[in-house]
Amino acid sequence: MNSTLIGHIARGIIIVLLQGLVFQRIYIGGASFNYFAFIIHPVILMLLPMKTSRFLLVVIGFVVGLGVDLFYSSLGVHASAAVFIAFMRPYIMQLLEPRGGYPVASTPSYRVFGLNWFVRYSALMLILYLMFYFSVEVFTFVYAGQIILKAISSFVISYLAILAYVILFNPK
Amino acid sequence: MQNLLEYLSRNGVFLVFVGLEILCFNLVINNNQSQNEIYHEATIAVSAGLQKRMSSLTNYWELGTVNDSLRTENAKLRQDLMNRGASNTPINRANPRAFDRFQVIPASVIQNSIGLRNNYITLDKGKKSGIKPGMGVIGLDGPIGIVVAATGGYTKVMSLLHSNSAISASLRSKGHIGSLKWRNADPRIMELEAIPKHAQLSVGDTVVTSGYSRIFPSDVMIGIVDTFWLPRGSNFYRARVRLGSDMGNLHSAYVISDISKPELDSLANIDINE
Repeated sequence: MNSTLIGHIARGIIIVLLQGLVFQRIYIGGASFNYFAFIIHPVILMLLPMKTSRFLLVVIGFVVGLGVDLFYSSLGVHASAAVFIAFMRPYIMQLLEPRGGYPVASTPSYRVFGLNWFVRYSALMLILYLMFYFSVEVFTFVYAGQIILKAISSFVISYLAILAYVILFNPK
Repeated sequence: MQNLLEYLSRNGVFLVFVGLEILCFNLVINNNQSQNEIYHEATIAVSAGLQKRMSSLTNYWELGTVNDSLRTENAKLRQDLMNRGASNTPINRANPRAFDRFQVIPASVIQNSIGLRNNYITLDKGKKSGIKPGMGVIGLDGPIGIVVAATGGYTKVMSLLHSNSAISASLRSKGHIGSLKWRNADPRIMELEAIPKHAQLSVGDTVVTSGYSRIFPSDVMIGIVDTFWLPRGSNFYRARVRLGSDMGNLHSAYVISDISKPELDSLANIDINE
């Protein structure tokens, strides 16, 4: 139990650091077309153990988001989006529940649940995160078009990165 | 207490979620300049929009109050104007209008007629507001009548359009005095009598109150000379005067209380007694 707990914490810290120090600096499309943002840290919330209480989920979401915000110097923007998807996670799980219920497993990894399931699960989580994040970032729905464009273009690259990470490293 | 705990255990996560989101937004607004500006602009825009809608909704219902307050303000301004000439009054700094010779009491016309031979106007203020019989009443564009009776909350005014109404009037430019009466059925026209023959009357002359009748202050515009003629064998002109007031469309009325009236009346009585 302790090893998985430590593993989760370590993974969380590393991914937050990666997000804040590396992925934040990656610009695709340059300054003129600043619509691609690598947002990978939602994967921390995606991979939290199945039995994590909803309360703990929301709190962890807040901590993770706040951690990323420290690097983005946008206090609260990532945190609000992370809290949001942490809150939504149980509902998404309910929505995607396979016939016959979920297999007994500690983490929602693609090995146990199948890649098909994980692809849909992570896609929903990520797009919710990005929509929420960019909405809060712009903080007005006047630019709904831009928000959606940013969310979709960022979704594409972030999603690929997350899937690559999950498939390559197969985190438990 | 147990219910509360049960409620919290069932909805606790949602509350935590909402609480954390509120905290996040608080952080966003307090720590991010552009969001902060947008937040303030948005709250102003939303609240101002709502306020405006609300006020347009309630405007109609508030019209009466607004009218009343405007009327009160008008009364004060008119009072100032009327008392501008009467200068030798002591100054009371706390209440600059306390010693004004003329007090103007705003009122609203609640009943009016113009089609009868003897017309009356009813106002929504009465004795409680200081109205007494004999006071003059002016409308927006000139005199409209004289108070004949006042109850606690209402006043009956003899309209200018009354067979007994007579107003002491003068020509503004020449200063000659005449008496203004209502002769015929036209509510826009009154007749000015007793202008001496040597007065060089001309069409378009302004007719104002003379101030001699102790009812109206002097120099309140009544109307304009429309036509005039010299009746055969008479030394006095007669003139048709087009009233400034539209007697058929009265809403606001200002009752004029003259502090000097009792004094002047007693003087007049002495004259009569002799």
